[in-house]
Amino acid sequence: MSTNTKLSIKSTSHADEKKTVTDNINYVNPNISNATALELAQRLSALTMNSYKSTEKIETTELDSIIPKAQRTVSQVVLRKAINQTPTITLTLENNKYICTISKAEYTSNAAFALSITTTGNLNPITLPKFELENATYADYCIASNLNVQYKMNFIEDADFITGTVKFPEDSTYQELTINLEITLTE
Amino acid sequence: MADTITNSKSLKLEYDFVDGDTRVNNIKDPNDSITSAQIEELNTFIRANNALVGDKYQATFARIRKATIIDKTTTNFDLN
Repeated sequence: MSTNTKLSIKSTSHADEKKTVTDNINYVNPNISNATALELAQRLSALTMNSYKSTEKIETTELDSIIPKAQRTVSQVVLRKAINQTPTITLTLENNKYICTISKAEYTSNAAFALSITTTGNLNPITLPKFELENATYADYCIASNLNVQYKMNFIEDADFITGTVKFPEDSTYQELTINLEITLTE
Repeated sequence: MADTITNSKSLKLEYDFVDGDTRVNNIKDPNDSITSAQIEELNTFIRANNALVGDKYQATFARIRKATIIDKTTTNFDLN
């Protein structure tokens, strides 16, 4: 499992004010304060010709695991949120269930989450994993590529966690899955 | 249709971490007037605030080992 926190810095292009330039800065310490993250983004932006607009802090956790077909029926995802703390994300596989926990995060009640699944085999829309979520609204999935599917969800207002179940259809042929949980913090 | 030529610049920052690995970030459209003192200031800020860490073992940032402005010209040939 590996975790990467990055800053997504958006600037107005010096060449065309209608265009936005995005720089992704990897290897950011997930434990730094938002103020320090913001100062880092602004210091990096100051080295460019573009005009700084905004910064997002994005954390990605990846878990690689081979899932035997017999164990592919039910997994559980739990997304939790807390207020006014630095975000951390853990993603574990226990007793055939994925447990995703986001804690110590600063984000608003309607923060958006993207959960994506990558497989070594081609994705079949009929056999895609399905999510059943509580305390969250769940938009339709979108297939980003033939190996990657992304699900987007939003907290229902005032809910402080999401509990969900991921169901892998019995006839799915995925031999290896990577679940990426990505949280975008906006202030 | 004629050949098309595009130019792009980026600032390549190479970091050393205490686990011995080197990691890289690229930033688009750098100023031509960047000085070594500015890179040194950035280096000091990152180290003082522990702002970057290694991705696998949370290795501590050691230093910016190299900063390079890359000026790239790309020619797409018209092959009809």
